[in-house]
Amino acid sequence: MEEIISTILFIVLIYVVLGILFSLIFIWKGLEKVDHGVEDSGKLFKFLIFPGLVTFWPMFLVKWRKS
Amino acid sequence: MSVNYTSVLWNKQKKGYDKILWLGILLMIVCFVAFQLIFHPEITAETLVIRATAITAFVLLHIILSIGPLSRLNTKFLPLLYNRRHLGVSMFFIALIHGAFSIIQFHALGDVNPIVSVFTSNQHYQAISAFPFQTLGFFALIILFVMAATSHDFWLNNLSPRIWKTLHMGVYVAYGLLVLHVALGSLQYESHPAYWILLIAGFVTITGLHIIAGFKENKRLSADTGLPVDDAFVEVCAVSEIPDDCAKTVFIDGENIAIFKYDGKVSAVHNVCKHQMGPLGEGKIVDGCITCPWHGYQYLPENGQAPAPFTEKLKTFEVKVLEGKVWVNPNPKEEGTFVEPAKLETK
Repeated sequence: MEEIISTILFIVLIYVVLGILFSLIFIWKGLEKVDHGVEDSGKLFKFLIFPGLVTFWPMFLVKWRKS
Repeated sequence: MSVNYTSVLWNKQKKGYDKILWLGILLMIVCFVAFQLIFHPEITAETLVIRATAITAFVLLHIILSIGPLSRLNTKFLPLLYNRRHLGVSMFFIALIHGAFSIIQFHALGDVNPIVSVFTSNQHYQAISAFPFQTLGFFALIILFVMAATSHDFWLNNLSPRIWKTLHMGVYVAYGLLVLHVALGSLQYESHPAYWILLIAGFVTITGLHIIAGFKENKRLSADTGLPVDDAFVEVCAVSEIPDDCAKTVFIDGENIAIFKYDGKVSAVHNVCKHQMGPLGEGKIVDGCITCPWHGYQYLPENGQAPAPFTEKLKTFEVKVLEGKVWVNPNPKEEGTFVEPAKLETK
């Protein structure tokens, strides 16, 4: 049981770390290309959407590539 | 509405709402702490934080889940709906404090990873009295996190309203998990029946309100079948049945329609707001615009378009007024199509 949980947690950790790295680059380079409503939206807004970006980062990776 | 995003669209109502919300939260915590210190003077600070945040978050969740059906049953509750997302995010942060303190206090002192310990320290999944209730709370907290993280309108636009709404219906799964978390957790160690009575009363109130609101909606929908029909137009009601600057809602041939009376005219639009699928027909005409009761999104009644620079559009419907009766054609026009409003007959 402990091994299974540890493995799942390790996978989740990798997903989150990749998500954090992707989200930092995405906010800097890709966010405005994917959603034009983000222009001039401010740092607090980007901070507010950051946890969600880390959660749903694969979706934004696809959107960014398509844009 | 879909121009550039801002972090929070503050206005007087939202500031007032948040002030009352946080004063209420502080009052609840202070009262609970005082109660605990009087009746359990030996209690530790960590346990006090865990208990106070647990009860506060759980009460807030009940309030959040009650607002929707209460607003459908009585429009006086609509102002509570207006800024419900701040209520939800506040509840998540309080629940997060509860979760973090619980994991630190009960799972961080051994040599096993604290999160792993949540799942492995107790594996009596077949038992009731010793069930590992912490796992239920953990999954509920994950759901509440996803909801709080996606509460901004940015997510509504990027996930699509349908997916966003489905995701946020997860609150009911979280509620179910939390009822079990409480029932299989702290209530297994409390002998006083008052705790069980409170938990069951809360559950019955939430489910009861949803069932009653659902019955009311079904009654409204079924009342709209068998209406008189003439040349694709369906007779809906007498003009006098629609209050000024308000709407009558009908459900005909699968179309949810809101018929508004304003400035001596009548117009009909799709009854579902583009923002969070709010019931536009329960809103009012404000400054010449249909205004959603949930978050104040606005549309022009003649063409269903949000006023510039916003871009949302609703389907529109033809209407006519004959001998004091309102008739509507349930075949919708394209979103944003201008439809000449029906003029009210003057006597």
